[in-house]
Amino acid sequence: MRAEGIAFRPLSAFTLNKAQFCLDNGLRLIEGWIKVPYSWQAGETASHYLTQLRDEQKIWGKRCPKCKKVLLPPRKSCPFCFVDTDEWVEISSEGVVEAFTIVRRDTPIQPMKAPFAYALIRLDGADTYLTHVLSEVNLNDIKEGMRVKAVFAENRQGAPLDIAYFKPSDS
Amino acid sequence: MDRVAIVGVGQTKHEARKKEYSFSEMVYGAVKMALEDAGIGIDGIDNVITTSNDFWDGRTISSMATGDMSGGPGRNDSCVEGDGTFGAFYGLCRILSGSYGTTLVTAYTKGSKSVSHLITNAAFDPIHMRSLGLDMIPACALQARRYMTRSGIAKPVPYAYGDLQLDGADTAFSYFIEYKDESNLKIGARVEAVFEEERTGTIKDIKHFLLIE
Repeated sequence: MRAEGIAFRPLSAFTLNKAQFCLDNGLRLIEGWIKVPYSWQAGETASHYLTQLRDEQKIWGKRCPKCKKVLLPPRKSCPFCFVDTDEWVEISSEGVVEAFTIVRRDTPIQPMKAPFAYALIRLDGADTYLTHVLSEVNLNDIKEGMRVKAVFAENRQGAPLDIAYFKPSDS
Repeated sequence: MDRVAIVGVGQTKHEARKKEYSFSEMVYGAVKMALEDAGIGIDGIDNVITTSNDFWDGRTISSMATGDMSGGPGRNDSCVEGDGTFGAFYGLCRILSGSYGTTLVTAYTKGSKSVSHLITNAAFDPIHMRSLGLDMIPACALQARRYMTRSGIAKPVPYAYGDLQLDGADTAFSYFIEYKDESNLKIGARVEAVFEEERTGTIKDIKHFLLIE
C-alpha cells in the first residue's frame, strides 16, 4: 500500500488522529484510529476490592444473603437472586483451575509474552470463577483441578493485574 | 399467531477488504440483490431497519449511516445496534404488530478494517477483565474448555484441533488431533482416525486423529 502523504488536518483530535488518505490500487483508503479518552467508575464494591488487592494483597468476595453464594469479583448485588449482597468474605489466594486455554500467539494487549495460559480459577472460599493468567508453569502440565496460588505484583495500582499471575501451589 | 415470511435475501461475497465499496455502498449491493430475489422494486418496501456494530465500523451510531443506501429516505427507517439476527427479529415484531408491511432489514460488518484483538478486547469489562488482555479467541476457548470439561470430553494438553478433510470427502469437519512433534502440525499434514475400543454410536467413537509423522 502506498501512502501519498497528503497533508490532512484532523477534524477531531480523537477520532481522526493522524488520519491519512492513502491510495490502495487507485482507490482511496482513509487510515486512522478510533482513539477516545474514557474513564470508568468502578463503584464502591469494586473500589474496595481493588484497594484491598493493592494495600493488603488480600482478595475479598461478597456473599449473597439469599443463595449464600460468595461472588468473586465481588458484586453489589447477586445476579441470581436480585438482592443486595451484604457481607464481605475474605477469599484465599489459592484455588483450583476449572478451565484453561494456552495462548500461543502474541497480541498487542496481552499482559505477558506468549506462550502462557488463561484460566478460570475457583479460589477457596469463592463460588464463582476469577479469570486470570497462569505463569511459572509447564504448560503441558496444566489440567482442570490443578491447585494454583496468586502471585502479587510488586508495584500495585489497585488493578486486576495487582495479582500478576497465578502459579501452581506446589512450586 | 400470524406468520411472517422472508421473501428475498441478498448477500455480498464474503471477502476481505472489499475496497471497491464504502460501507453504505456494500449495503446497497446487498439490498439490490434482496429486491431482485424477492422480485420487487424499492417501491415494494414499506419500512427499513438498518443494523450494525459501532466498534467494527469505527464510528458511533453507525447503524444510522446506511439508511440512505437502503431506501430509507421517505420511509420509516429505524436503526439498531447489534447483529443482523436482532435486526431481523425487530423486523418480525414490527410486521406482527400490524402497523408495518414489507420490511427491509440490512446488516453488515467488515472485520478486515481493524485489529480484531483490540476490537474484541474492548468488549470486556474495563474494571475487572480488560487489562488481562483477553480477546474473543481465548475467551471462547476458555468457555469451550469449560464446556468440554463438564461434558467429560476435555483431553489433557497438548492436543490440537483441526479442520480435517478425509480422502474421498469433499467437505471438512473439526476434530481432535494427537501428535508427537508440534512442528509437524501443518496445513496439508495427513492424519488417520483412531477409534475407541468400546463404541457407542456417537461421534466420540473416534478417539482422535493421529498425525502421521
